[in-house]
Amino acid sequence: MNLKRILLAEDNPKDVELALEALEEDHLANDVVVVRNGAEALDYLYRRGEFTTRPAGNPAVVLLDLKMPKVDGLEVLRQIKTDEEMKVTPVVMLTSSREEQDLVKSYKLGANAYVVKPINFQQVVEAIKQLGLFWAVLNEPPVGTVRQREARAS
Amino acid sequence: LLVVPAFGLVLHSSLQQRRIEKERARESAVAISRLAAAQQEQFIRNARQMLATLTEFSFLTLTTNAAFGETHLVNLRKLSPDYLTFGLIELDGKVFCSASPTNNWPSLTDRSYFQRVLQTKGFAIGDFQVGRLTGQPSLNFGYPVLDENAQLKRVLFAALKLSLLSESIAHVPMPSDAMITVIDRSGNVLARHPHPEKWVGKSLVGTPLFKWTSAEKQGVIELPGVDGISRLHAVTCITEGQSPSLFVSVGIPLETSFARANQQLLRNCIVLAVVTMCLIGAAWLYARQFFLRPVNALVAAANRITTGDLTTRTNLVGGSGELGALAGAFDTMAETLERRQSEVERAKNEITEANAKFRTLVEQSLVGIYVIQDGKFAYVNPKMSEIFGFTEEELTSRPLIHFIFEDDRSLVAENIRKRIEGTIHHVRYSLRALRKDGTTIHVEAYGSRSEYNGRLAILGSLLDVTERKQAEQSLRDSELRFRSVWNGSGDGLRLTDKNGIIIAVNEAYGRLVGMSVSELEGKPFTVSYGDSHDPEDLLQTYRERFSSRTIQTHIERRVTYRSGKTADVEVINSLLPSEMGEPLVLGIFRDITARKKAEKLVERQRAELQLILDTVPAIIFYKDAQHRLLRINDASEHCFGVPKEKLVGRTDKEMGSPHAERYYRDEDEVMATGQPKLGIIEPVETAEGTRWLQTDKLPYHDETGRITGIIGFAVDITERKRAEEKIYSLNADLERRVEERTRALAEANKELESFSYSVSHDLRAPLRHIGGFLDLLQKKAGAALDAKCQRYVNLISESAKEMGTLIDDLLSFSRMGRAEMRATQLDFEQLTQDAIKEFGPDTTGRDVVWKIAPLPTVQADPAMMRQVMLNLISNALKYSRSRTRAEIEIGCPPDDDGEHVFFVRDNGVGFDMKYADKLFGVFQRLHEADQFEGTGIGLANVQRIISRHGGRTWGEGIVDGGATFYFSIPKSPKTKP
Repeated sequence: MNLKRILLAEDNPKDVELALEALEEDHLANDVVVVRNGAEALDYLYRRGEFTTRPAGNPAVVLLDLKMPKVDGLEVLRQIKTDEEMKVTPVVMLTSSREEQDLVKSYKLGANAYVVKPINFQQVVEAIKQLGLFWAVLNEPPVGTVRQREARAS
Repeated sequence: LLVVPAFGLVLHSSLQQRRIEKERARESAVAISRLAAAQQEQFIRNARQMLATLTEFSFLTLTTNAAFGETHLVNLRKLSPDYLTFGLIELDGKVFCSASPTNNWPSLTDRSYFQRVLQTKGFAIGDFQVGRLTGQPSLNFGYPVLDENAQLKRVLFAALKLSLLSESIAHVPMPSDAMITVIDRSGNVLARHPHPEKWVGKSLVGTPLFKWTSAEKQGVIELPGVDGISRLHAVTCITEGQSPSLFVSVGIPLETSFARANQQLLRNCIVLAVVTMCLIGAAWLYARQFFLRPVNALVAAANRITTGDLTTRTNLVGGSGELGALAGAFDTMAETLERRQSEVERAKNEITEANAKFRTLVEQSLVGIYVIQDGKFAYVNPKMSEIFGFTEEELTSRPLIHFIFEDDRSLVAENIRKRIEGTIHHVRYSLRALRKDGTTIHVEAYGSRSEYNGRLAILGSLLDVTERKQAEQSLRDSELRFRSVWNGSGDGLRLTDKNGIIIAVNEAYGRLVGMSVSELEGKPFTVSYGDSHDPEDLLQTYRERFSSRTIQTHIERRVTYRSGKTADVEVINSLLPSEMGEPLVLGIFRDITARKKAEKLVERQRAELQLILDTVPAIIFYKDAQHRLLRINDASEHCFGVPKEKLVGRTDKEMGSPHAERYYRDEDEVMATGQPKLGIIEPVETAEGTRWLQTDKLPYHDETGRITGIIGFAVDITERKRAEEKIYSLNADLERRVEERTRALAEANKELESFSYSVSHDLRAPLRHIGGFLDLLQKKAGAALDAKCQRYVNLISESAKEMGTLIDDLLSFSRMGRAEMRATQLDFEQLTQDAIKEFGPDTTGRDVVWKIAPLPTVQADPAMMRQVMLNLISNALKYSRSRTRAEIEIGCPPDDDGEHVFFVRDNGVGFDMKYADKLFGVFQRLHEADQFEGTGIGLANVQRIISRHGGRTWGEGIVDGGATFYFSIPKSPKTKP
């Protein structure tokens, strides 16, 4: 299993498909690891369970859906931001909710960005594309993260 | 032979007789002349006194008004018949005025008294003269008239009737053939006895008597008189100061003196010769019997007389013959002598007696008598030494000033000086003197200018008035005390006499009866009483009681006074003994109206208190320090269900109360601390079972303030307690139910919250998917679809978007209701500008005119207010879209109504006011969706937010005439949760 630059945690397969479709437009789809809930996201990040064998290293950006079964996005965010090694990893919260309390909670826990998924798909595509580009490509990631070129090279 | 010794005896006896006779005559003459001189001196002294007294009246003697002087002098002469005239002579000898008014007064410079006064400035006696105006002989006296500086100003003279002198000496007892002559210093006869008419006015100058008199002044001499008769002259000189002024001469003819002796001798010799011849030898025995015995008796009598026994008589009277005559003559002589002697003795005795009388008077006087000379007491009487405590020697040896209190010394010195200088004659004044024991005494001195031992002196009397002064002071003090008691008394004081007439009242009495003191005094006491009192009756009763001495000593009565005032008055009467006459009644009046009122009030309060005690439902009881019940009220009886008699005097323990210890604890605490213990809730066992009391226990003080027990006030709260318990349980139940409801509500709230949360996430996801996949479908198969299919895809996409908007609005509306409010100071103008900016893209290409009035800063939640403004501006833009020029006005007119009223006005399509009530309903719309898009939730949101801020919302509109939306925000926020 290759090390991917983008970790997308999303339980709704339709949203995953749409997200991937959008990322594909920038040819980032292959750099995405999709997990279906928060527990899996943590397993991936800590190389546990089915991800024990994945190559070492942290993704350049983590895209977290807020509402997920088992462990929700906020919990995953909390664990990442309280882990000394991992807290430098940029986390973008994706949510269909405009609830203010969610937004406040996210920023308090240390989320780097918060994106409300628009009804209009095109807007979603644009948002995801920009997020992917910004975090995965343009942004200088912290030490220990996978860069696009390095990932490609490997 | 027998006759020879008899002759010798007769001769001897005769010679003896002659010598004795002469001696007698001499003594007699001297005595007579002294007596006469004393009389003359009396005239002179009188004259001198009169003149001296007159000169004291300087208003008269120094007057410049001659007529005035004359009047007085004429009056004076009328009063003094002994004087011919008085007058004042100027220093040039002219008469200024006189008692004999005339313009023809000759100059009197030649008058000897005038000249002598000028010389000596003292009293002067003139020489014999016949008045130039009166034509009568007179003896004149002169006296100096001095001014305050002791300068001689005038001479006062008086002319004494000269005849008076002769009349006076005529009364001098003397032998019938003796004579008295008064001669002046010039030798003129002033008076004579006998035969004054022959002698007065004659000059004796040149006579041997006057020569001798001028030389010797006084003494006794035997001289032949002008008549050729030899006389024994006794002369007494009356001096005026040092020089002789008058001489009084008494002349007794030597014949008279010796006649008897010579005659006797002759007779004796003849008789002797006859007897010798006739009776020689024969009548020897008879001679013894008839001759020798009487002769011997005569000799013995003469001898006794020589020794001064003038009562001696020969006792031979009745005898016959020469011897009898001899004896008779002898006895007559002795009698005369004795009479004269006794007169002299009497005069002497009189003088001695008078002297003794005066001495006794002076020495035993109760008044101090003194003479001051040379700044010392020259004489003091015994009383003086008693007053001063010094001996008479001490008083007369020390300077006068030594005995005067320091502060008064100058006064005394001044007074003495004035009198010595003659400015004043006498003075009476008070001064303080010093006693030997050092104490100061008040004395009153009365001193006059006088003479003592021939020199100027002050003679005075002095009275110790210390006691009188003290008595006066004490009287004044006593009077003052009495006055202040009388006037200062708050009680009315009234003195009435036996008839009920007011003698005196004080101010307080006047105030009591409402009249002035002057209106009351001197009137019957009934004057102040009103008509309801019968004055006659009152006075009658008063007089009866007064006379029987049964005046009521203590009266309390209600009186209505004439002044209209009615008062309760307490009177205390007492009889005041009066030193003169009937006693007086002293009445002390006190207005006790207030006291009476207070007494009635207390009485009423006492009755009320008893009534209250017995009618209040409260249980009231008194306990002593041993917790014994002392007193309880009816309510206690009812509560305990035990009669009072069984309770009083017993303790709770004795009555078997299981709560006794509990009661005692509280009661002991109250008694120990003196602090009341209030609201004690305690059980009590009664006939009806346990009841509950709410008791206040207070310390019970006796009159001295000592705590002797407790007073308890208790209310039976058994019913209340039950009711309270019920309320408590109901309240607890209610609270529990409220808690349950609250919990249920909270749960419902939470459910609603998670519901809307789910809605916002889960309801939007399918819409998003529909939209997303439709986009993908168009992207992938767009070209392959025909126009109709294309349209279907678009419709699906729009519906999905619409659904999304609805969901968003609904969620936002729900959020607005739940969201926490965070009110801060909010600048509405800034907020409005920011909101307008957000609509920038929507207004592109439109002509919009913004009219923004100045907006205030208010206390509100910024996020919510932003929503309000966004909604209203959005509406305004939306509904004015059809206008070529949109006009949107935003304002907040100043208003003092306690709230800010904002409005947003547009010139859009407006609305029909009959639907105004639907404006703010959720999903309520007044326009069709194809006209104006919208969910109908904007204004509902606005209303909800404003309502949460405590404000109101309303709208005004005209169809096609624009709309105005108002909302208000209170100035002092009263936000709702």
